[in-house]
Amino acid sequence: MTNLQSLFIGHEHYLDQLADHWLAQGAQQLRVVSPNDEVLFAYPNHSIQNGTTPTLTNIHVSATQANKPLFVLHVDLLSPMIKDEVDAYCERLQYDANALLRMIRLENELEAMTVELVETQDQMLALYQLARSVRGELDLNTIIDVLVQEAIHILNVEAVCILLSTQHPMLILTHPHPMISDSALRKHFKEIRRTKREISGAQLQGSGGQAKNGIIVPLYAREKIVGCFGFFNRDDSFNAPSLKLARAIAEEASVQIEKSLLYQNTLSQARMRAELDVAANIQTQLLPQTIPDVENVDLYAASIQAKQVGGDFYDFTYKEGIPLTISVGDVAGKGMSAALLMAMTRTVLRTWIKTLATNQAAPVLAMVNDDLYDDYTQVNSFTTVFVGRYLPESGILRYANAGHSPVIHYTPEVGATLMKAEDMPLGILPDIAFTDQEIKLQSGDILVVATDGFSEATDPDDNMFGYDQLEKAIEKHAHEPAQVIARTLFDTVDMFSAGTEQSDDMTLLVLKIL
Amino acid sequence: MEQTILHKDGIAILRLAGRFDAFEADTVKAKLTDAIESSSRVIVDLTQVNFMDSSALAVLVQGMKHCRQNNGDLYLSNLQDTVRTIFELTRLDKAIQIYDTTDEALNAFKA
Repeated sequence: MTNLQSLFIGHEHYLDQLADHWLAQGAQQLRVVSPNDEVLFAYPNHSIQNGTTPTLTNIHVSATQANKPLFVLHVDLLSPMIKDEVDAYCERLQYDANALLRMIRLENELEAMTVELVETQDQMLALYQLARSVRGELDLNTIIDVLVQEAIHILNVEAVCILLSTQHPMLILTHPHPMISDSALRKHFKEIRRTKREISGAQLQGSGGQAKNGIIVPLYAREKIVGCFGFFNRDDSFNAPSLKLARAIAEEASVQIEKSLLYQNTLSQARMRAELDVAANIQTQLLPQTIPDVENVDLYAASIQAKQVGGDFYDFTYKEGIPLTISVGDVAGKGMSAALLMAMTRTVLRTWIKTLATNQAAPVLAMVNDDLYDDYTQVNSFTTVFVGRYLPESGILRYANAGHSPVIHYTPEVGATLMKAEDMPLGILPDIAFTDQEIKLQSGDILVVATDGFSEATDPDDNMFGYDQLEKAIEKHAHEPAQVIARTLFDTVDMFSAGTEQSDDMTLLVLKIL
Repeated sequence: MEQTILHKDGIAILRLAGRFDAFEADTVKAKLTDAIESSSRVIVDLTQVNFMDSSALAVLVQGMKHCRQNNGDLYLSNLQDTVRTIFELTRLDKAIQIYDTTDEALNAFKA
């Protein structure tokens, strides 16, 4: 069948109607003839001696498309006519030829539109199917697996690939086999990110693979290009509807990937928070749960952790053969590294307090520094520590202070005074010559060892609490038991800060001689 | 906070300004590392620094260790009273040399 014949398929009824009309007017035959004189249709379809019967007058007109004759319409009229009559018939026939052509063309267009509509509907259905198959799925790898498999079917391509830059290392997935090299894909992705445009056609040439046709479309998450989706070797190459569909698939993929990334983010944040909670719990549990019962000594300690895990600690040791030993420390920095160093420092300190055969404090600090100097250096931190060893029989407190403040000594006669540190913190130098100090504590004396979270607590105007206010508060409540003094100091700082969030832990140890 | 690096006679001078705390520690650390890479003899000029917390001290201590590993040192100059107090109370003044002026620190390096 020729192209011309196929043009009329399904529209024969128009030809029938036209022929009936002319035959009723007295015409003997109507024919549709190709430009090279081949008769395609004849009404009636019996042989007439074409133009040989002298009584017949043949008129014919061309139906043209884009200035070229498409077909010629012939009518054989009975009896001879004058020229005016022939002209009038020709004019009518020309009108009919044009109308026939227009009708056929419109119908064909309508048909094409219907096909496109059906195709669009199919595509929408396919996209719906795609959305459905990944609905409820949150795992990124599963989502991507489903996307690539479905995309192959929906778009009728030989292979697809996805690149995602949100993952480390960059995620590249090809299905069922690579069409361009990974390095080429990375290069295309860079280009897409720079130009914010898809890559297709000639741009894909020289990509080091077997891509005959294809398109690579950007993938967006939170309005940023985070990857790209490539579709390769479509059976009928990429026409306008299939390009549209490829973009629609990429858009759906973007939505699904963004959803999964958001979920991952939330999940990892929750995990991190849970880990920090665990660390904070461990830290709290590392602090002594009971306070040693020592004759004539009223002892109390408490610690309030800031929002982030910090590095404050306090400890007591009191057992046979060992003086009542108190320690308060503050590891520089925050977060997990500070928390871990705090736990290590506390353990090593405790071990040396128990095992070193001395009543002095300085040798203990020297051993701890020796053990932990490299670790402190490794994580760029240091620790201030106060270690005090009290012998109830003599009332002597021996202490060594590695850069720790504030330590306040209150006596009923003199009031509160700041006991300044003699030595630098642990972890500053590999060898530190710590020195032992000695004071005699008497009834009514109070020793308060706090961390700088106390003295550096700030009010809404960014003023610091400072040492003076701390000393005054101790003097004011010196007659109270250790626990009440400690609670009052916490309350005083709390009132001072007036709801301002504190960035540092606050730790306080109160030792009062009864 | 503001951070500028100058060089004088082969000695790097890092000038800091503002509040030096945990929030600034990472950026100062990076700048200090740059300074140390250019010269293992570094002076940190703290004229404009009005507050330092333990994270800030840790950055300077790390810088000091880093310089000494490379046979250099880190000196401090122009400390405001509040900042000097922090060094005195923690006795970090025993570990890090502190000078009243940058010129004095420069002379100490040259001596």
